[in-house]
Amino acid sequence: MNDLINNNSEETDELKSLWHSQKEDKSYDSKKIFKMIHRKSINSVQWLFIISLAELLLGLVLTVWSYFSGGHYYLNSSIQLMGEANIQKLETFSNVGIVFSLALIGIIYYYYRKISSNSSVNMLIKNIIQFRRAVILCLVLIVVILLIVMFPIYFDLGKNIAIQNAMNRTDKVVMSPEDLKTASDAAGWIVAGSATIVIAVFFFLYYFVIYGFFLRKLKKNQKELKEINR
Amino acid sequence: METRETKFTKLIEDNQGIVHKICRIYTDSPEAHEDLFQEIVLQLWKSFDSFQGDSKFSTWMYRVSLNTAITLIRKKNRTISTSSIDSEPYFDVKSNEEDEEKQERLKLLYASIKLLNEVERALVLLYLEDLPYREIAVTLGITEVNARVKMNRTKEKLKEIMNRNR
Repeated sequence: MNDLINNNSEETDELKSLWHSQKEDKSYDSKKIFKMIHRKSINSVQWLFIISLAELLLGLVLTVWSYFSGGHYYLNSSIQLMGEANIQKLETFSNVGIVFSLALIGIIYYYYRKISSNSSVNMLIKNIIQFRRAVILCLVLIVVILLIVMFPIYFDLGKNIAIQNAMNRTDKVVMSPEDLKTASDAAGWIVAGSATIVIAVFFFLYYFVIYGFFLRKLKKNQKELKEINR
Repeated sequence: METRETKFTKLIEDNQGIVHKICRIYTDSPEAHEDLFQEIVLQLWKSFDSFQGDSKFSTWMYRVSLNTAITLIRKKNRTISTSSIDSEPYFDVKSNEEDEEKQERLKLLYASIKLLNEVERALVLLYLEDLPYREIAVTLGITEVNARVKMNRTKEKLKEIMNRNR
């Protein structure tokens, strides 16, 4: 064994000759190989892309359904509490959201298409990392925009609930306009703050479980890219 | 008449030794070997259209197979988690009187290669397979100079591992 690892050029010649002393493995015939190419297999990158597409389709189905159900799928009581203006804002946001989602899917698809096992190892790893970043960026954008749009709507909802409660009170205590404004603003902040926390936690858990599983698998590529370019 | 599928299966049947060697350095059980082999064949089939014929079939095969082994397929059961040198080999040597000794040396070589990181394993494989540095560089997507520097570094590392475990 000493001969194998001592002298530099002799050593590598020895290693190569040893390597080539292996029998050619021919354990699979054409029939078995033919079966292999008809298998179905989905890797992490493909799963991420499929999940993104499924989410978009779900969004499209919900929007189309809302049109066919008469434009409004909000309860009358909700419309009163949120206000017509906010309902319209929500509907506009849903429509813009579909276009926005399509654009994001386009971006994800662009990076997905760049991933090819035919490229060099270095390029493939770079493309997988870019795809991963694009997916993460899209997820963050969706959640941040949703929170920005929904915050003022929930604020108004909280305010309107407080005002309506004050107006429906049967005890003869009358609040001054200043007190009513302070109380309704406080209710607005509480409702908007709580809704923001609920939305953020929901999306964090949803994306952490669904996307996180596949994104963590792809993360190892960053380490490999460092190794290859070291 | 030769269809695209029969042409492909014939090419894989004739060149399957390459895929088996890659599976051996990236897996540590016959089940994981078979699993990775099937995934590589599937990826080769999916990329077969992009094989232009301007490079050798074997060169293209190394690229797609290594990409599949390193990046696209990750399964826990094929991760080398141990630093042990005693993992069982899944190879055979050409028959002659030195069989047993060669088996032992090959076992040490494979076990040592498995202690390298995934990119270093690819480098060593391409080197042992006698690919010129230009092709090694193209396969890995680095410069030829970088390939030589990395190879020297990796050979030193492999030597150290083998010395430690002989």
